[in-house]
Amino acid sequence: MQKDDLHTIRFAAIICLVCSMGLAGVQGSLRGIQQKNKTIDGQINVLKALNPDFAPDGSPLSEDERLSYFLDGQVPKELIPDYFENYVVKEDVTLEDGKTDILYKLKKDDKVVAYAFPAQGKGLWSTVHSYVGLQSDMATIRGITFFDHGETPGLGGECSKPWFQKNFRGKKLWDDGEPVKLMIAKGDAEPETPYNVDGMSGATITGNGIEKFVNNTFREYNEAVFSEQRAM
Amino acid sequence: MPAIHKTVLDPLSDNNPITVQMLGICSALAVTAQLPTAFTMSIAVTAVLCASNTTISLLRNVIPPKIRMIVEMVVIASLVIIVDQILKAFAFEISKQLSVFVGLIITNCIVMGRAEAFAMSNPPKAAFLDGLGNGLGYSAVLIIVGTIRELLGFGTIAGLKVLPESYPGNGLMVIAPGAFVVIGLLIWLQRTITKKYEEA
Repeated sequence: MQKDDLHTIRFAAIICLVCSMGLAGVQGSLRGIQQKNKTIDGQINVLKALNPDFAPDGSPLSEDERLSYFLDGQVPKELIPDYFENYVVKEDVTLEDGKTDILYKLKKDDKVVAYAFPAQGKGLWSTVHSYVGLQSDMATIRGITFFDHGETPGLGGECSKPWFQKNFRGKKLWDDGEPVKLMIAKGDAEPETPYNVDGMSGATITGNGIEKFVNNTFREYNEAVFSEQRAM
Repeated sequence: MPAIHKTVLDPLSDNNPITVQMLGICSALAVTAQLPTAFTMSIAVTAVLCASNTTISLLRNVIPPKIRMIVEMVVIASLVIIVDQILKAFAFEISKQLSVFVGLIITNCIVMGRAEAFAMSNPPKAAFLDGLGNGLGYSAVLIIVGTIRELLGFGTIAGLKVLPESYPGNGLMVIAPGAFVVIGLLIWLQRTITKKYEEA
């Protein structure tokens, strides 16, 4: 073997070793913070759907506080663990076809104030993830959040913006004893009904995708959980 | 020293990596729909460029010529992963928006190009300045494009409403073809000013 071949191999080995050790070090030391960011991010999304009307100490929140906390997502980070320790209950539920998924309940004084379930489906480019929150009537949308998507910024990407998510609040997925189809308009909804949501102009396909998966997932949860609870 | 000046200032305009060297166009199209993402991307690329140029220059006399480019790639990739990890830890929101594009700095031709063309044959200090200059040149274009696209696309600058509420927004500016148009116009402007043309 020639002398510079040996040098090449030795150099390659050293540089690989140094780089991998460096990366392992960086990743190891930052993992804790990253994990925490991720957990908090997930929890904020659940809270946006559950949309609590009280602070973790039990005192009521003003309307403005609620909007800034659970619509804009500006809930103070130190409050988040309190909500999850004392008020939010996570349950496994079995949907049709035997697949299991989760249902969050916001409980205060042993009464369920709100439900939230995860829903996801295709938008235009990507899978859009969401949590849908319902009032205790299991019919009216209390809060909703869309996140973790790859839709076009400014068009379909607007689905993760507060203005769009606000349009869903108070809309109905269940009325008069049966599921109703929530519809997302192309732009402003006309006429204004409890099932008609103002959409994002220029993002018809993202809107259609969201409409489909929100309706379908609600129906699955309705069959598996809500219809039973209503009967009780 | 005039040489230092030239190393840092040349890439800002006369030898701009995007509008003159035509490198790094891909990310310039992808992350410039809004100013904040363009800005973070600029910082990330500049940091990687400075660090990679310095590292490669320090190693330039011991890197075996046969595996020169592979070594450059390993160094660049490691630096990019470090930047990505730091963003995920300390700028989580922005790193979510930049998603895959931080990782793709590895394939940004400017980084590799400067390592090959400059850092391999110049001392560390000059290489660092070259990285800084090219990073700033890239940043300048990204920030100009980001400002124009956000202003025309949404009527905002860095999220603040600038144009009247009635401005409907321009969908073309929001998607990648809009960036093509803006960058094309910038290149036209640049070359008209610097009088540097491609030989046909």
